[in-house]
Amino acid sequence: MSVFSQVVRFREPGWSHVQEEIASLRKDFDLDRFLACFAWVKKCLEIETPDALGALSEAISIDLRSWSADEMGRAHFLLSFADFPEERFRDIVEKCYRYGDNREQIAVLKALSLFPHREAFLPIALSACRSNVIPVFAALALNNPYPAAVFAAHAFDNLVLKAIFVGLPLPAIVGLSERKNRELAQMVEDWIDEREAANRPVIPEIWPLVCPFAGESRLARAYRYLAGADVGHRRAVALALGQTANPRHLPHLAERLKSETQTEVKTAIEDAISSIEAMTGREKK
Amino acid sequence: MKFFDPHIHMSARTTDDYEAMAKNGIAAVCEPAFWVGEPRTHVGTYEDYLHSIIGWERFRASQFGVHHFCAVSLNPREANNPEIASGVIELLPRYLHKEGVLAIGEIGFDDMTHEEEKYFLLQLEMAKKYRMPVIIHTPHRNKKQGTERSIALVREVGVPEDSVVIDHNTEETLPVVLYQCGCWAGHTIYPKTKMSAERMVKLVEKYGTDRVIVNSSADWGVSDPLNVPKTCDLMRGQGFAEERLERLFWHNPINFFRHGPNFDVEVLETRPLVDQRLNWQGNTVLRGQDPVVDSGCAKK
Repeated sequence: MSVFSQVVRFREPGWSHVQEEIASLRKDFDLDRFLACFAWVKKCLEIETPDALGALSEAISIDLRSWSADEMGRAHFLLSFADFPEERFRDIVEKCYRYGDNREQIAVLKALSLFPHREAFLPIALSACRSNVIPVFAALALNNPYPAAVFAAHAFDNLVLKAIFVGLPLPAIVGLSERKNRELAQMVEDWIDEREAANRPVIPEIWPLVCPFAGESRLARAYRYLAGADVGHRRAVALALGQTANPRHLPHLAERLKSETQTEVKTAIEDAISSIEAMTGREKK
Repeated sequence: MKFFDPHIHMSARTTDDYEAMAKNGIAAVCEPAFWVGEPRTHVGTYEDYLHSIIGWERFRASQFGVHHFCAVSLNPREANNPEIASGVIELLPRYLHKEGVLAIGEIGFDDMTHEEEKYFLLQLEMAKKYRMPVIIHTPHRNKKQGTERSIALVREVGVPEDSVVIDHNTEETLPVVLYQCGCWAGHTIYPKTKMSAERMVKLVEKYGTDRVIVNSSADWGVSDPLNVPKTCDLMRGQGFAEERLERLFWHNPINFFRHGPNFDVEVLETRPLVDQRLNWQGNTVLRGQDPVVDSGCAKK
């Protein structure tokens, strides 16, 4: 049984049939029966204890609250074969993805980080990065530890950029803070340039990616947003600047604080000032 | 005034679009090979697609009085697909000399992966060998770096720059293309993304019409196959002279494609005779309507 046994209830009579198929396939594997069962298993279970999802999520470092019952069922089904020899299991998972409909592909992508020898599934993950079916791309990009754990820098940076492009929430990208880097910052800055030239809005979530690496002219742009009309941007820039140990931000934060009227932005600015002062105080020591 | 839309994916559009395009003066189109929304998994599927843009689509366009040309390639996105990439590259030379094939395209970058660059280079070498014009797709993300790298590769292979169009430009990349190389600069006018008609007007005011091309890239997504004449109307309304408009929307695409060996420019002097009594391999565009038959068509 997989980890999902703790939180799902398997519906009868379907689940017994699935269990029988698993046992039979483990003895005498047949791809067509396997794929049929993979498709069918979604009907056989439901989430029994949603309250337990939080604890289980902590235990396996995957946010299961964004998973549906069919996804857990399919992950459970696949994990029943995870002890097969590496190449064989990889081939099975690839076939599930290759022949899968959107929901089946989503289930495979969400389960990738649970599989042994996870680097073997990199081609599947990279293929998902090219998908135009946004829920499929989101299954890899959001609430999924796989990209941050396995992707090389170029692939991860492109995943983030695509998430920005298609409007996915950046805070849901696992490991984004740890993997931010100068090249990604440049790509995002170029994107901001394009958006501003086209008079199109920029999302506030990008500031933590650019502020730590911003040079003189780019910081001037961040300060412009700090002083701008949009509350979301003012708060986001303040928070992002507060994560750097750069005292040059202090006069700009202090200036904004004098005229800021929104409570959430004032708090963010005050926290940023305290944070920078603390970090630079520590460095001076 | 006549229009040539040099980058439009007509196989994703309906006959309503052809009727509207013909009514609005679009006399010719070029359809570059691209991906179909879902990744293809067999070389044969890709080959069938090339057949359709060379054959059926050309016929379908002619049924509405539109000259249809195409470009063939392994597109940047599917260059990442090991199941088909090398197989498609192998069969491409078979299709470069077919009637109506004006260029190699779209090629270029999507995510700027190693595989994309490998197949980009191979197809640039093919273009140089067969003296074909090239349509380069610049990535939607990381566009500036993609544009600069594309120019570098064109130079590395030695494809004549005036037979290359670097497409989907923005305010950031247009000056790069115009001032850092001799390539043409393509612009895609979309309803909500990429370049807008209003912004295109400003760019032409600032940079002129030399080596500038405008297209609709209308495809299976939210896009408008009339964006080329609509952009022209906007410019006319802002006082652009007819001669300038004709240059931008008719002569520029023609002058770009005439660098290649397969472009019979003379055919553009007349509209294809519409004879909807004709079939293509047994297929008709009609569904019970009376066929439109131009005078001049052979009596049945």
